[in-house]
Amino acid sequence: MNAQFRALFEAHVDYIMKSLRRLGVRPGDVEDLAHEVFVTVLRRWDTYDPSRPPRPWLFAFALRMASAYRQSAYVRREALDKGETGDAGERGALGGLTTKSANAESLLVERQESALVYRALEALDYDKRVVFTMFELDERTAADIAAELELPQNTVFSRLRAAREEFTVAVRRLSREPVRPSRPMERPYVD
Amino acid sequence: MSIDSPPDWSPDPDIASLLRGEREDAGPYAGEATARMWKRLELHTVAAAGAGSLATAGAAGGSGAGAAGAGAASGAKALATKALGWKVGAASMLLLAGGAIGASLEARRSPPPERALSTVVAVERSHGIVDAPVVSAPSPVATTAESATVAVDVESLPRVPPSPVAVAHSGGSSAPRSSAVPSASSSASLSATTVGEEQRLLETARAAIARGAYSSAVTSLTEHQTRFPTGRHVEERELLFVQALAGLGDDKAAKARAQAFAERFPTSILLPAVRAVSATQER
Repeated sequence: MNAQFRALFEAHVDYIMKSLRRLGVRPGDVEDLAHEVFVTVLRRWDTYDPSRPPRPWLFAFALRMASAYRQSAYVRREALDKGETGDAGERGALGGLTTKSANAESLLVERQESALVYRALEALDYDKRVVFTMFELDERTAADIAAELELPQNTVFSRLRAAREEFTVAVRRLSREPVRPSRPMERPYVD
Repeated sequence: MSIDSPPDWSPDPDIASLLRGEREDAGPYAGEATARMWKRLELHTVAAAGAGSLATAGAAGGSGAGAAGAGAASGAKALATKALGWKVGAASMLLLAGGAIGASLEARRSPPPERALSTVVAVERSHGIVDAPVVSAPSPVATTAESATVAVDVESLPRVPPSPVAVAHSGGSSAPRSSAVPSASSSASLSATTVGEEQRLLETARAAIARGAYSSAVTSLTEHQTRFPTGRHVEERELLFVQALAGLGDDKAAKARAQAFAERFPTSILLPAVRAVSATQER
């Protein structure tokens, strides 16, 4: 059991971290959230089924985590906007979220192309981003995605269509010219 | 469009290549983070197991399997601490690591996260023990080990011997934590360092709880328990422990811990706060 969990962890921790990035978790938060994902995985180990592919199962944890993460960020912003906390200056939570967490160290380890993908994904709203990530990056089937997200398949399709268009536009806007892997993009996130 | 097949897409070559690269890339974190993260997980499970075993005395009942997303809400609020606590305690705590995962698995419980979260918030509001979340922490997201240390600088903390008073001072006030600007202090005696270390662990835990990073909090608190079993701030630690366990959704452990607190410190000024956590849980 212990060894099994460890094997799963080692094989897929990178995938989970990448998935969290794709789902909009900021670089500085990825490792912490991945930690929480695996803590939860361990807690829910009784639902692990070795006969099924592990990634979709793990992705579901990451997805929940990323969704809650987003919500918490929005909750914080709302609270700050309303001034409920009394000290809602610019060093409030979201200020930290939007600037500080994109720390240089984390960014340096991200491949330039990945960074471009993540930035383009930022242009999508979350629902489309999830579908796009699952379909185009994880190459899961529409039926599988529909089941996982509890959506009608047509909704998955329409989100996917919109996401593809928006993703393409965003990449164009961000790069202004065709991306060639050998050519480094300008550094991301440096405002 | 058929209902069974996704819409066709022939992305431009550059987009296709970009996506292919992202699919095939091992990940920006490949290798480098794995060992570090595993160590952290081990520490966490040690911490959870420790908390569980200490708390299970007197706790009855079986464990239930809860909502699949149990950790999600708490975890998602775990915005970036580089978890100073688990780094510092790594050497000593790893000694305990054997079998820890199994132990923590037995102790697993996961009630819906929302309730657990609101528990802690409610306690914070009604007792002001824990700092107002988010804003009072210097920079919740970017809190690195370094900044966490600064925020709880040893020298800036009051040298008040009995823990209840210290709690009242550091947590009971509505002043934001960030206002605790470190002030120079000349004497750095050994005992002051120890007290500071104790305080630092608790502050790390407190800040983690305020952010919802309950597992990080448990790690810090376990380290505190290991290093300062009879420290000056045992009561404060126990209160934070109860809050963190409740936040993690481990109601059983939280309750048992609260019970133990009541027996051990029947006259504690913190007892109402401890009771409030378990009372909120029962609702």
